Amino acid sequence: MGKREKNFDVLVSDKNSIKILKLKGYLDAYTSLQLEELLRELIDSGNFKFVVNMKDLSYISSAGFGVFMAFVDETRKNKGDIKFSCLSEKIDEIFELLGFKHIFEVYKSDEEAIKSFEKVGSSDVKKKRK
Amino acid sequence: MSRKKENKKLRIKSQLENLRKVREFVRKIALGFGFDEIETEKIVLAVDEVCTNSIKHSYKNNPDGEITIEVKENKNKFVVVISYGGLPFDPSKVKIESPIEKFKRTGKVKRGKLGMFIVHSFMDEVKYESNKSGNVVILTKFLRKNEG
Repeated sequence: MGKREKNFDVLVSDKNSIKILKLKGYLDAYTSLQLEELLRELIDSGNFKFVVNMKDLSYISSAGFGVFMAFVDETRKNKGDIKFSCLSEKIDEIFELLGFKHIFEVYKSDEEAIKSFEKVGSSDVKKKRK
Repeated sequence: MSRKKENKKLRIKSQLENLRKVREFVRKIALGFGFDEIETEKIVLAVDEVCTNSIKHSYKNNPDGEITIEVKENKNKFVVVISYGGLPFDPSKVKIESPIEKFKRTGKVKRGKLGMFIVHSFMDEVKYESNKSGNVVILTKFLRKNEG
């Protein structure tokens, strides 16, 4: 058996109140439904902060981007966001070409993405104390 | 010596799970033609988007339709001809707008029409033809001298 593209899988882990989604395989019109259902469930159960790790994602089409575009406003309205980490060189270039870096925050590592949420969190706390 | 004219064809059923076969088919030929990884990815994405649209919109997810993907290589010209049946497609009805423009205009992030934006921004030429025998989308990309 030669090296073939694997289908698609998501590994979900928690860091404080942030859900880390580690994507694996390819995200196209066929596999994006699985991610859409997962995000819907997580958001419906009160999760609004997401870091999407794309290190092992080999491909993403408009259907894949569409899942994040469909949910991002809802997360932001609830003091959360969908942020991205560890893009491969190829996917990073596609983000750049499509202008997604103006719409989404992209970080080099999960840690940096998580920290960026903490900054927002601390300013919220300050505001509340006043 | 000029590049040999060659035609390569793939026929699939109108099922989303077949998109992967289409990508593998196009990727291999585009890389062999001399496109680098990024340019190849752009072609693969454009073809994927056209096939996805044909399955969702022309065939309305009916899995029994047929899509033919034919690659024509001629000198520095790489042409992908995608033929399918189902409902006719009228490109004039689709407004092509970049996601950032849309975001700036509306202040909202909404999905939709991104596939068409990808097709038009990643290929050099995009042509649509609809006739009695079906729909044909012709995607062209030229290999620049500094590539390959």
